[in-house]
Amino acid sequence: MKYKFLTAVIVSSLATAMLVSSCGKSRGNDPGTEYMPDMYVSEAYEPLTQPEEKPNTINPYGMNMRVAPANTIARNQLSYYYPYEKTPEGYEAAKKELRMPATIERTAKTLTKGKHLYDINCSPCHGDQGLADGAVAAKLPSIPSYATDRIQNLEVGGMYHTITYGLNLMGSYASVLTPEERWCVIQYVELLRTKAKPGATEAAQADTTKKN
Amino acid sequence: MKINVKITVLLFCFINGIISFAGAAPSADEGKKLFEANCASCHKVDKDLVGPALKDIDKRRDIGWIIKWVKNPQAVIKSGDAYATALYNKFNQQNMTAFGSLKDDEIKSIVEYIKAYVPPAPAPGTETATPDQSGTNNSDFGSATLLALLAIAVLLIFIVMLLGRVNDVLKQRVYEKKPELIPENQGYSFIKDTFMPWVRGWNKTVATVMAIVIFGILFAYNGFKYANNEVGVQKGYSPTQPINFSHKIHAGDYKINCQYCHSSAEKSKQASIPSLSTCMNCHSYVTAKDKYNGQTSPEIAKIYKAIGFNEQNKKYDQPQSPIKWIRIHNLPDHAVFNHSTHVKLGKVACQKCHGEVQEMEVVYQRNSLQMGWCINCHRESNVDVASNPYYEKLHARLKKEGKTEIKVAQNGGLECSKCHY
Repeated sequence: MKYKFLTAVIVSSLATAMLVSSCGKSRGNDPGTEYMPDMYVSEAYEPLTQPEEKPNTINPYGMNMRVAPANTIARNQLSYYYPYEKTPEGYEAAKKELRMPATIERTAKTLTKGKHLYDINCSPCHGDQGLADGAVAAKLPSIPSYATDRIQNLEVGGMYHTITYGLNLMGSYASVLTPEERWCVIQYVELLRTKAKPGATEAAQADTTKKN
Repeated sequence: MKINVKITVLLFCFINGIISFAGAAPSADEGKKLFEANCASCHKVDKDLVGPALKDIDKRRDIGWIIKWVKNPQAVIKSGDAYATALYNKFNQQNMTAFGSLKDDEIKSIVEYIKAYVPPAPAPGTETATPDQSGTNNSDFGSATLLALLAIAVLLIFIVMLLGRVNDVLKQRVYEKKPELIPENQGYSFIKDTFMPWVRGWNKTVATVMAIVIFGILFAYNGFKYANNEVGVQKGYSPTQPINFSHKIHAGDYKINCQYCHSSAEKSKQASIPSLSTCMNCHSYVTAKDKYNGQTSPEIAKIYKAIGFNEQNKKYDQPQSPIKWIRIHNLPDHAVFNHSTHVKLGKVACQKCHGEVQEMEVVYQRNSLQMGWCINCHRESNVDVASNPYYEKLHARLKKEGKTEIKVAQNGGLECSKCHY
């Protein structure tokens, strides 16, 4: 009889071991076992989180973030104020009047920043060199190459307007790039289009690089 | 001689005539170039884009009207032209740019190009395989199945033991009635002759204690391992998201930078979930219709539904309902992690913590995000002292001491209050 007891003990301990080591693992839709789940949830409402344990009962859709009230500008963000409207007239006016602010001087630093942001936000469509050969460009119709006359002759104000509001198929990048960053990107775009200029000589290209 | 001169003159005139004729006549080739430079960002020949499809425009409108329209669309609308007004209203009252600089002949050649337009045949082999969305679960079976299997196994073992007991009892009954059936000596058996007498010789108490100890050690070992590595650790978590977004297609195949969508990784604590307007940068146009029999892909349709985009009139005029993405990488509230510190200052690649996301059809948590894992990296990684002006003094001091590098751990990367505050 005794050996049966022993078998029972061995079998049950193996089963427990198996059970313990197999359940509670996170996989698929199961996040696994948590102890004290309240330690995962912030008492304060944190942006970009929407825990089920602590729903936001005040904001629309239960989101922790809110859209800023219309026609307001946050402190120290006066540069976000943009007087031109999202109309063809606004576009023309921006082309004519809007110039790069004097505070944003073209230096190696701003160009590096511009390149970095260009590579992240613009290059998927416009391509590394602005030749409209990005990997996504194949999926979208007719992204203008910087070598075309239209871009070659485009004023910086027009570029800023386009980044801010989007144009035709291009969307707005105002939520991603701060005004300063937009100007840095424009500096880099200007550099690219000088390089892309049809018939641009090596000397001219070397000249632009030297200027930076 | 005279004849020669005459022939030369004639020939000259003839060639000249051909050249001037070719220059004057609207040609489709010229038109193609002009179309691509001026019209293509808003118009396609065979599909409505920002503006209407231009196929058969020569049949719909006479050339005089087209020229007037292209040169100054506003004027045509203001003149009260019914067709122009209807068009203007159909396309969200969006003004077309006036192309006053285009010559009549150039506009005619664009129309020639539209007439001669043949839709390009789809290139063979461009079709990418439809992503397999079924493989959301990266294990062979779920825990419920495992439990059921275990229960069946226990039941079967019980049945085997029961049947063995029944067999023994039946045998004994038979032997009692017919003792002649008792088998003669069957020769040496390990279990019957060595193992069982050995087990029967055991002290009952010692055996029980030993069994409990074995059981206890197994239980404690597994329990410790489990509590340490599994409880509160979500490694391997790969929930089904409300939209089957494939990082493999976007970040892998199309090489879109992580920060195109997670734009605040460099600027703030959070890497941020992109707003739907980021999706619409491409998906206002890209609908993957070729893969879904001319229908908009059901996953892209979910974006449209959430953002209230009306595909027919390209307006955002439907009710909106935000998408509830499920968070995968989750730290307890008592640990602080700042993305910008790691991405911008530490120049840590996203993949170092999140794994090869660009190869994941369904994203799963690659690393445990446990404290030991964090600390380990802090012990191994160098602080970028050379290119960061904030560390100028430190860099100078290091140089004086003849060192070239300093680990994050040596620079306070192991301080409790760095992350727990």
